[in-house]
Amino acid sequence: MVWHTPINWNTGIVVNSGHLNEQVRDNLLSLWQRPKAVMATPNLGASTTSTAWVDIDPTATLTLTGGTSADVLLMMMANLTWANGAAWTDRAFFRFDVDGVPFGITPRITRYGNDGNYIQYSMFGVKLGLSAGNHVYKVQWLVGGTAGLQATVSHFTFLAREIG
Amino acid sequence: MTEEKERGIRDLVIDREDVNLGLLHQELTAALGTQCCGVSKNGGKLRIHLFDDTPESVDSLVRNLVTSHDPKVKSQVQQDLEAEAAILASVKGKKPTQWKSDEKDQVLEILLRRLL
Repeated sequence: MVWHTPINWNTGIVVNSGHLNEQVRDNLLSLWQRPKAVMATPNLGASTTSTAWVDIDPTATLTLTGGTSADVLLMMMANLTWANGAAWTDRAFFRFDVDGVPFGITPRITRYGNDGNYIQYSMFGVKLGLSAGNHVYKVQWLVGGTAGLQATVSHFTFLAREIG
Repeated sequence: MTEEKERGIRDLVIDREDVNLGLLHQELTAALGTQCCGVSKNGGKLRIHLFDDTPESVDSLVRNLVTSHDPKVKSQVQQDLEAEAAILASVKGKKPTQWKSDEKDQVLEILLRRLL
């Protein structure tokens, strides 16, 4: 839906249906219908022992088709558990990837406590100034520490949405 | 400061449900060295992560390793963790004053290993 530049209303302007359709209907729809993609998988059950960045899962990929250049909000939430962990310094890292290029910070999640303990983890990012057209969004991860350390993600939610 | 360029990854996808991921990781890295950075699993799909400069001639070795993998075998880390869990279970619920001398040493050793 096309965005119409908001009118600066002045005394004496007579409001007609054209104004209402453009300024209210079209602009509200333009805001509401911004491209978005969501993946919510309670039973993802993806595990890794990788010590280099890899995709969490091939299915954890979102594609947005934007009609204009835009900023895109990315959000990921997951439950994280461990196996084969032997030290509190064992850890996992996560990051977003847009069109094959990583961006943003790479937060470290440390394995406090014992294997099997759940850590609920969330990560947000805003990718600024993407060009119009298709863009592919992914979440990647790696683990570090004990050899064979295994991280497992479940209850996985991943969202991408144009915000401006 | 220059950032180190990441090595590219290529995935070898193999269907196998029953896997001991920690052990398979060690078997693969022992055989392939730095050509393999790990393994991922979702359902019955295994993804063996190889660096993209690894020749395709290695793929058959990887498939053989996955085929011969026995998930019932425990890795050394898993055996150590089980031994640690048994020691901790033996003192759980007992006051430290009731611990035997060797139990104190073992528990301290485990705690230090986990903390440092």
